[in-house]
Amino acid sequence: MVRRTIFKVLVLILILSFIWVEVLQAETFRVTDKLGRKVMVDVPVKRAVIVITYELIPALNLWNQVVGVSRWAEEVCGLYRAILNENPNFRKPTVGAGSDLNVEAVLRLNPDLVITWTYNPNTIWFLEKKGVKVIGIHPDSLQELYEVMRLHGKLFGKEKRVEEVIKEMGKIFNLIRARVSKIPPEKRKRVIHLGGKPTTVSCGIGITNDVIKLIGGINPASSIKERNADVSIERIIQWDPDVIFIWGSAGYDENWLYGNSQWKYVKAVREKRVYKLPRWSTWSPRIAPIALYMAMKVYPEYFRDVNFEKVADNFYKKVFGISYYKVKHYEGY
Amino acid sequence: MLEVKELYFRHKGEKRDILKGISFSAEKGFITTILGPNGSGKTTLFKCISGIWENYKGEVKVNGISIDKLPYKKRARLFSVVPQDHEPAFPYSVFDVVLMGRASYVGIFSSPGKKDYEKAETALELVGIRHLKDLPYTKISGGERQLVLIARAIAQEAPVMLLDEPTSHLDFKNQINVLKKIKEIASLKGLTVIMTLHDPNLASLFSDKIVVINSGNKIAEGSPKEVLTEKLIKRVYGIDVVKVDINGQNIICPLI
Amino acid sequence: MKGIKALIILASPFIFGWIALFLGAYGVSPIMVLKILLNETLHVFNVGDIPEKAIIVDIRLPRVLLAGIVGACLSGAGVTLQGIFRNPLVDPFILGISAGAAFGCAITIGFLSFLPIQFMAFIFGITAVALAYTVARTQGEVSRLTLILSGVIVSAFFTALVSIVKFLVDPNKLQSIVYWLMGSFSLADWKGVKVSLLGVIFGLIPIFLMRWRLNVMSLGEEEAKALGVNVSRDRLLFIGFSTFAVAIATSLCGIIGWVGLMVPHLVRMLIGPDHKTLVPLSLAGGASFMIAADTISRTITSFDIPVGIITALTGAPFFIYLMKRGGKEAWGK
Repeated sequence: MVRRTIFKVLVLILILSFIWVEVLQAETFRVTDKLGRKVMVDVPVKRAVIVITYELIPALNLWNQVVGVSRWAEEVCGLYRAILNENPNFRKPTVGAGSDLNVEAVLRLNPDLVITWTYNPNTIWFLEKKGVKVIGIHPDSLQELYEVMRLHGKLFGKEKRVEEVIKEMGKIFNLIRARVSKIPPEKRKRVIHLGGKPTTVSCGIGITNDVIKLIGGINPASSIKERNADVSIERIIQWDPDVIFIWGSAGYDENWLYGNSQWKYVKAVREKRVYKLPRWSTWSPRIAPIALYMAMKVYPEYFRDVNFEKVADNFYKKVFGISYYKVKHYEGY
Repeated sequence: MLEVKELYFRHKGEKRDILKGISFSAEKGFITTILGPNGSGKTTLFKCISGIWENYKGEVKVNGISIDKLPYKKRARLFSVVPQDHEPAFPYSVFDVVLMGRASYVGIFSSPGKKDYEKAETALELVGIRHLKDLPYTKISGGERQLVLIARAIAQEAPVMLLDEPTSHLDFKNQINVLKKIKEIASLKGLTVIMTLHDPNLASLFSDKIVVINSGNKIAEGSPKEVLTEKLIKRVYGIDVVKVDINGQNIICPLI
Repeated sequence: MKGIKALIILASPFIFGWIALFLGAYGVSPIMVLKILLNETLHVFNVGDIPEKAIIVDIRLPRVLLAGIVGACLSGAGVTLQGIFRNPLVDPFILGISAGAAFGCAITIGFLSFLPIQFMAFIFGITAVALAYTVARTQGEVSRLTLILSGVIVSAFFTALVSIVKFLVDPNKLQSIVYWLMGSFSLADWKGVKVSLLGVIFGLIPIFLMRWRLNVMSLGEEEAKALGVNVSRDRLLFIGFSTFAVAIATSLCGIIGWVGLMVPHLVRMLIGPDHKTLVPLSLAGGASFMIAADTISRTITSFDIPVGIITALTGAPFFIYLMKRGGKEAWGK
C-alpha cells in the first residue's frame, strides 16, 4: 500500500516537473526587427513560415517547427530541393513568391510567426493587421547575418546549434583571413560584383561588400553608400577592376562581357577574370563557401593547396547534413 | 448648281425617318436658304449634303454629277463648309486657319506650297480681313471669326459653299455685315451658296431662294416673296404674323 | 523674336550633345576628346588604341545619340497624339503602348530569353494600340473619348499581365524585369543606335512629312472631313507611326516618362500651335531635353540616377513656371 502511494507521488512529481520545464521553456521574447517594429514572440516557435532564410531550416534542423516556406525555396534553392529529394516527408506547403506572398495561404497555415525580408513592407503591415506576428529582416553585413542567424536560434530554441554552424563558417573565414592577410597592400586586387544588369554594381552597403573586404579585395564601388547602384560603363572602366563577379542569378554571364566592345578596356575583361558566382543564397551559412570561392578566384596563388569541393563538402555535411556533390547535381552544374 | 433628289435619312437603329424625301435645287451665283424651326431636320439636311452623314437615301448632285460615293478629298473640292462659331482647340493664327482650307489640294506627305499661300492671302483680301492675318484666332471677335471661316471656305475654291447658321452667335451689326459679305462673294465668285437660317426676316432679306423645311418635309421652295406668306409662317412656326412691304423688301412682323 | 526662339530650339540638341561628349565619369581632357573625334571622322591625329577612344567613340557617342533619338521619338509621338486628340495634355502612353511594351519585355526576360527584348516590346506595344483601337471601334465610329478610355483599359490589362509574369517568374528574372522597366541609357551601344534609326525612318520621318495635316486634324473630325481629310485613315496612320516610334524607343531604354507629354506642350507655349513648326521643334526639343537629362543623370553623382527621375524633377517645375507665365493662351481657352 505505501509503495503504491510512493509510486503515485513519484509519477506526480515526474509529471509536474515536465510541466514545469515546459512552462519555463515557453518564455516571451521581445524582438526589434529591421523596420523598427517591436514584436513579442513566444519561444520556442512551433509553427513558423520562413520566406527567405530557408537555408537555415536544414542548418538548424527546423523541420518540425516550420509549417510553410516561399515558392523560391523549392524553385531556386538547389540545396533545399536536394534535401527534399532525400526526405520527401520534409516537404512544406508553399505560400507564394518571396517578393509577393500569398497572404491567404499564410493565414491558412495558422503560423505563430512569419520571418520574411523587408523588400515589400506592405505585406508585413498587412499580415500584422490580420493578427500574424511578422519579423522583417535584411542583413546588410556579415555581422548582421550572424545576428539574424542567432535570432533564428533563439526563436526556435536552437541556440547551441547556431553557434555550431557559426563556428563552421568561422573555420572557412579564418582560413581565408589567414591566407589573405599575407598579401601586401599594393598587391590587393580591385573586385566588383555585378547584379541583375551588367551596369548594376554592389556598393558600400551589404554582405557582398563585406565579403569582398574579407577576402582581401578592394571594392571601388564601396564609396557609394547604397546597396546597389546603376553606373555608367565609363565609371567601371575608370575603376578598372582586376576581377569581376557576376551575381549567380543574373540573366547574362561572362561571355556577354567578353564579347562586348565597350568593356574591352576593363582589366578583368582583358585578362578574362570574370566569373559568375554559383546560384547560392548569401543570406545563409553558404556565404562562407561563397567567400572561399571568391577568394580562390581573386588570389588563386594563395590557395593552391586548397581543394574547394572538399572543403565545401565537409562544410555541407556538417552544416546541412548532405553531400556537396548531391546538391551540385541538383543545381545543374 | 446643286440638286437634291428624294433625300431620306434616319439614324442607325431608328424606326422613324428624320428626312422624308426632300428635293430641291440651288443655282450658281445665288443664295439658297434652308429655313425651318428647331427640330425641322434642317441641320440633318445640312449634314447630309455636306457629307458629314453618309447613310442617306436619295441623291445629291453637283453640276449633274452624283457626289454620294466621292472620297473626302474630291468632295471637299466641290463643297466648302462654314461651320458655326466654335471653341478651337489651339490658338492658330487667322492666316493658318484660312490656309487649312487648302487641305484637299495638299498631298498627305506634303505641306502647303507657294500657290496655296497665295490663295489664302487672296481669300483674306476678298473678305476684307487681311489686317487680322497674324492675330490668334481665339483673340478676335465672334463676327471676325465667322469671316475667317468664310475666308477659309473661299480658299478651298469649291463651287458650292454651305453655311450652317452663320449668324446664330453674332450680334445685330455682325449679322448684317456677315450676310452682306456672303451675298457679295456669292455673286462675285459665282458660287452656289446654301445656308441654313432660322430667322425668316434675315432669310427674306438676303436670299434669292428659300426652301422651307418642317418635320422632315419640304413645305415650300421659291423666292422669298412667293414662299414667306402669313399662312406659311403660321403653319410652320405657329405664330401669327403680318407681312409688310418696305422699300421693296418683305418683312414679317409678329402679332403680339 | 519667334524666329530666334525657334532657331535656339532647333540648335539645342547639337549644343547639348556636343557638351555631353565632354562630360563623363572617366575624365577625358577636352583636347583629347577633340582629337579622338577628328581621328574618327577625318582620320587625322592618330591617337592609338587607348581606353579614352573607346570611352568617347564606343560609350559616350552612342549614348548621346541614343538619348537624342529616343527623346525625339517620345516627343514626336507626343505632339502627334496631342494634335489628334486635340488635347495638349495627352501622353504618348495613353493608348497603352508603354504597358504593352512593358509586358513584351517581361515576357521576354521571363520566358523567351533567346529573343532580343526590343522585339517583343515592340510587338506588344503595337498590339496594345491595335487592341485599344479595336475595342474603341466596337462603338461604331471611333471618337477621341472612346479611344482614350479603351487605351486606359488596355493599359490596365497589360499592367496586370506584367504583374502575373512577375509573380510566375523566379527572383533572378524578376530583378532583370524590374531593372529594365526603370528606364536607363547605361547600356547604350551602337547596336541600339542602329535599331533606334528604325524608329526615325518609319516613325518620325512620316510624321514630319505629314505634320501640316495635324493642324487640320486638330480642328475636329467633322471639320477635318469637310476640308477634305480622310480622318479615319489619317488618324490610323498618325497613331501607327507614333506608336512605332514610342515602341522602338521604349524597347531600347525602358520606360521614361514626362518627355512626350511635356516637351510638345512647352514648345507649343513658346512657338505656337502651327504644326509645321511645332513638330520639328518638338523633335529637337525632345532630343536636347533627353540628352541633358541623361548627361545630368550620369555626371551629378558617382552612380547613374534613373533618368526618369531627372526628367520629372527638371520638367515639372519648368512646366509650372511656363504655365503661370501665360500658358493659358496655348490652350486656346
